Amino acid sequence: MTERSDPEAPLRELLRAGDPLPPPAALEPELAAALGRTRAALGVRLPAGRPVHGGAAWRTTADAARGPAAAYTTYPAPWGALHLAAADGGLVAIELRSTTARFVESLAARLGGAVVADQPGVPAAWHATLERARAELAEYFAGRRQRFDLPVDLRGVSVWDRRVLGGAAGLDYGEVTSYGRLARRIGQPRAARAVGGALGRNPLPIVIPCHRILAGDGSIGGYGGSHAGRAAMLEVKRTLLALEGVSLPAPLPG
Amino acid sequence: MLPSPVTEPDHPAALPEPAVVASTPAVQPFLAVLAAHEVELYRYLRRLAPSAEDAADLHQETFLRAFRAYPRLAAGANVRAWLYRIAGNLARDAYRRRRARGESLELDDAAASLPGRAAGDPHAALAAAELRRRVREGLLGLGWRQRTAVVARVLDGLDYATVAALLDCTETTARQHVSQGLRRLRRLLADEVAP
Repeated sequence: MTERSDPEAPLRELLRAGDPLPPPAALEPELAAALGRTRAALGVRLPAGRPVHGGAAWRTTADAARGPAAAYTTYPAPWGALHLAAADGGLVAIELRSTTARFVESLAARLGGAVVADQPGVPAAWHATLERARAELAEYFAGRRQRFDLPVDLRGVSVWDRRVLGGAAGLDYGEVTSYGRLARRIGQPRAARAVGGALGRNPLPIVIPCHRILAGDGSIGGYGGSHAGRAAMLEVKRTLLALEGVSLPAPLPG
Repeated sequence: MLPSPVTEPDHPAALPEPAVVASTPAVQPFLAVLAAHEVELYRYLRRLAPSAEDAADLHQETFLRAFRAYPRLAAGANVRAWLYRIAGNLARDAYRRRRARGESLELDDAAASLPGRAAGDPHAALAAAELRRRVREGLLGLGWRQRTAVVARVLDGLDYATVAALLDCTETTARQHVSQGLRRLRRLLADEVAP
């Protein structure tokens, strides 16, 4: 380690030597017992063979043996906390405005496995992907990065959605197009509406720049599916476009 | 008072049988939080409690409290940081209660029973247990942000970006929490560490 110049190095060493955490072999059984007690106190237990949340957020013993499917962390975007997650193939999900619970739950359902916080014990590759993504996001928001260079994991994304997202990924920084033109670009000129639907399900917004697709009349269009918080999501889209130097007509009052 | 779907932790005898299947719909959104953080919170509490038994009690109380308060948590709040704060405060309160009862010199339950750490040498085992107690008390003497930052950075070896994500702050602030925490610990452990 490069802590040689650190005046607190002896103290750090002392703290590690006196770390009260038992070694893994001793920790495992007491951990299992403690988790079981807490779950019982909450009155929750997974009925055998019938998983909660589509087999996702709740871990059975078999799940625990298999380990989690992804790890998540947060990033302080200009509008608030953004959640991102990494799995074996790379970056697997970004949510721009979500609660941790909603993010973890929906991703767990998509992957069919538990989603845990980035912590000691998660695979090093996941941690590295999250760190790289956070660093690239920081550069992007500072205006110093125009393309993301990250492995992505599109598990659970349909063939059609991948095709649309692939088209969106071909747009350059600050370049905008319309749903209709993107539909033509991927060879499905009559599918503008379906293109909009696929973009709304984009699991990796910002990295796959679905914010660069606008309505045919040049107005902002939609962003992030059709669920609640539509106005706030459009504000995020506006923020990203402004960052990339795209100015839009102000939203009409009312 | 709202009817509580959970059993009060003060009456462990009244805990529902483990076979009781969930549960009110109210627990459902909380399950994801539980599944994502139950392991790391136990690791955290195990460092702040004198025994596995105490750590398990604190773990249970942390999640019971969090579950009750969860509906009132602001949307977009950092759930993870919030859980660490609840857990750390509960551990500190439990420590103060024990100290007030005069159980000041508690060594951990693993004092002499950890092979490998100090095999066969009772003096070394006792010294190791004493050091663990000092580190635990030192950590309990910090504010929750400094404590969480020192545990994550120094004991778990996480990098500053991860510590920052954990505390929902910038990396600069995360570094400050660690260095302030270490300065405080240096005073609390003054006689153990060379000046």
